[in-house]
Amino acid sequence: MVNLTTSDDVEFKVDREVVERSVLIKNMLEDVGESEQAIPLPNVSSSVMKKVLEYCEHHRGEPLPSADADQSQDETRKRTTDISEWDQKFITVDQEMLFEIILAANYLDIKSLLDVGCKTVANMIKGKTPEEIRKLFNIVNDFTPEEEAQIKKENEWAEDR
Amino acid sequence: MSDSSHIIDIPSTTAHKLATAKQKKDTADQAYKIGNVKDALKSYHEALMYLLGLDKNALQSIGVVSKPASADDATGKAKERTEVDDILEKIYANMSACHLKNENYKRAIETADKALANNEKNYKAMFRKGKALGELGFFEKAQKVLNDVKTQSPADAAAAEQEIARLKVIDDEKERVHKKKMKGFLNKAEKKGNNLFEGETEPNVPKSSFIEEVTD
Repeated sequence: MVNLTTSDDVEFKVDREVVERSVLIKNMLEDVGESEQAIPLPNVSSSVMKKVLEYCEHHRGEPLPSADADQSQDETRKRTTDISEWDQKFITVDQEMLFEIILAANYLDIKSLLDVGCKTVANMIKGKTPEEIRKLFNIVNDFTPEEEAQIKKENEWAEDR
Repeated sequence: MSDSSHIIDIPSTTAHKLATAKQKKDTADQAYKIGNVKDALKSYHEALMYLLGLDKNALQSIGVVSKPASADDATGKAKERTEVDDILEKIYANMSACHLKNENYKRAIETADKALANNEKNYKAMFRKGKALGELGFFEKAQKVLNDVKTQSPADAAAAEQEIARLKVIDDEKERVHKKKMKGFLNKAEKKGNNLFEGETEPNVPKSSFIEEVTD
């Protein structure tokens, strides 16, 4: 068992196989071995960590993408927005939590979870008008009407029809 | 987070995390200096836990902002560099030195690459990568990396040259043993073939001292 301490000083006891979904932690465990002393994770809160560990538990034992992964395989991974049913259900959370999960996946270096998070954001954006996207992410429109017309013209080819 | 006091506190907690990370790095440097590689690695890893995933915006608000890029790459591609990047670069380069000492060459290359991703002109990291590649038997790759050290950093040229020579001795020796083993392979195979893989010895060469010191 591996001990982890989150930013709000909550301690987690986790199976090594589960926590090793995080390449950041996996590298540390491989370099220095397990110890009684908890690993500090000062950039994740316990509420997010709980969610992340739920994901790691479900995907335990699956092969990790290797550093020198097949280039073409990496391409297909990036191009598809498909998310498996379990992952889809898992990632159905409020926007705040979604972004926290993405940040944590990036920090802990859990590539597959980062993919699920980013694809979810991509799917949220897909097919929406600029105004709808602004509303979705609370973005202030700082273009002048002239700039906006210009951009619209330049990107006309990309419009979904 | 919905916890608002947490949000207000971000700049100060960020400063605190940065300070903790520096402390861990110092502890690691000291441990390395007295030869305690395992403790050094542990503290370097802990420093990483504090440094990675720090809020970039919060860093700006506590004054850890981008420095003007160095004169030679001021040509527009000036990447935003923070103090965090500087420390990360040093930690990874130093971790590479630790892995070399442990003869964990694969991780030595990985960490050296991370330091180089932060600063492609980190010649210590480059040297360590070259050495680790050579130890793993990739002599040609090692030679290429060490040649880069040689041409780009006059201060390290002699050490790089020496390391290439050392690795070449090992490589030549391997080749010699290999050839000897295979010499008259067909004749031997006709007979019995059981002394084919005999007398294989690794040459014993003194280690380079370049990797010894860490960056404070």
